[in-house]
Amino acid sequence: MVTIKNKNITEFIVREIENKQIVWFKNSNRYVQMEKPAFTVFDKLQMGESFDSIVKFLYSNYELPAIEGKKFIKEIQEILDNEIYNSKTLITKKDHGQKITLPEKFYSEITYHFVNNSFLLKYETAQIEQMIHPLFAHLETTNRQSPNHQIQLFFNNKYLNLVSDNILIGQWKKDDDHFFRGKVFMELLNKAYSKKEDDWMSVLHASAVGNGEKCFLIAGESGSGKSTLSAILMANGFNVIADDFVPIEASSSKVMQFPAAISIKKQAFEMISSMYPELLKAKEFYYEKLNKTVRYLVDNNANKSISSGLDIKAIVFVKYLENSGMQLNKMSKNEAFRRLVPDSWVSPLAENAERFLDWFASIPCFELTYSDNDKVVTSLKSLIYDEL
Amino acid sequence: MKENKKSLNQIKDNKEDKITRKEALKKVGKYAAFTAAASMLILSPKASQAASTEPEHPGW
Repeated sequence: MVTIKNKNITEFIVREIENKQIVWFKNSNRYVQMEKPAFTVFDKLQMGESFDSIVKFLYSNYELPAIEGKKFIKEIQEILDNEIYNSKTLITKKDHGQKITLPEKFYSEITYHFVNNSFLLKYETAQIEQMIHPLFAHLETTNRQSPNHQIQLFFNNKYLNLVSDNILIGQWKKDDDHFFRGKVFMELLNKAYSKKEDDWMSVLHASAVGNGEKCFLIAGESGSGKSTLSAILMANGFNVIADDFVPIEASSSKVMQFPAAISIKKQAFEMISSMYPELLKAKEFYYEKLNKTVRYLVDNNANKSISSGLDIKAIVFVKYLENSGMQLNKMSKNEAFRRLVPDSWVSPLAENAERFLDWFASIPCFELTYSDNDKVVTSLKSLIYDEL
Repeated sequence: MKENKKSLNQIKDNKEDKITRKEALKKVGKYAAFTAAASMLILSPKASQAASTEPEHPGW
């Protein structure tokens, strides 16, 4: 069911998922989960029904006294006014108006082969190189033929700058360097797949693991074991299409390959190195802000370009728990939505938000707790081969 | 008689229980479900695509 406001302008979109209504608001690009009484009030308000009429409705249907009913309606009205009229979609300001001066010299210039394209990345400093290169070092090529694209990354007037094919893409403050890196990744994807930002439905903080025909997503909070599980699955015949940064194409709702290396945290070194001895020799990186140490493991698909995307079969929320064996259970879709959305970028375009809701409504979600690697591999093989 | 007294005490206790339950309901709010906080949840996606791992930047 889609509810479209009058004047042929999509101001909000509604989807019912497991007896709750999820309403997306265009102005704020936020999703509001509503229980039935709240949604009924919202629906009546946006249809123009009078305050008194809604109070009477609440009394006759829920025995809600008028004084409580009025309070309830006012609270909902305030929230909706904020979502529809006051909130503005937060957009990273692309241009901070700083005059751009390209560096005279770059610390390094490295060419990468990324999904059937060659990219020359120029890093102004060693620090900027450290932000990007470790993830793509395995894609470095010595082929000096003219690259398809050039990306220049440098520091200018206290801002990190991203220039792609001589066009300034954006500027970010130091504290927003995770957004800077995200945009570098998007620029690689856009150029490699000949797309624009509007062609992407979402970028999820997850890993995408598959069998060459379809995939499932491994989601969870930082430290829950997503990348570790990806590495375990890769050692058991799965392909890792994307780790930590999963781009989903809008028109097809498919995951597109993002061949960055898999980051393995210190606590998993021993276990993963038993499957991948090369990890023992890999360079170690310490991230002070997060107080974590990682090494990078190369995805076995990285040097094989997969230009077509993969359908997503399921989302699996993972948690490694010592001595837990293996439990894989279907989870509440609304709980899954609550966990997925705040950790994801979702396109602010109405047609993409609608696609996102349609896609999510169709995807089964599971909760996985495990400590037994063999059991989890067997179980996830069953999942992807439709045996569950 | 003792038994009756006991019964009266029991009745008294029950009445006190009922009062306590009423008070408890008042505190929780009989209509707690009919508040925006209880019946609506706002979820904000990230403003832009972001890499989750923070990079090392020893001194800009």
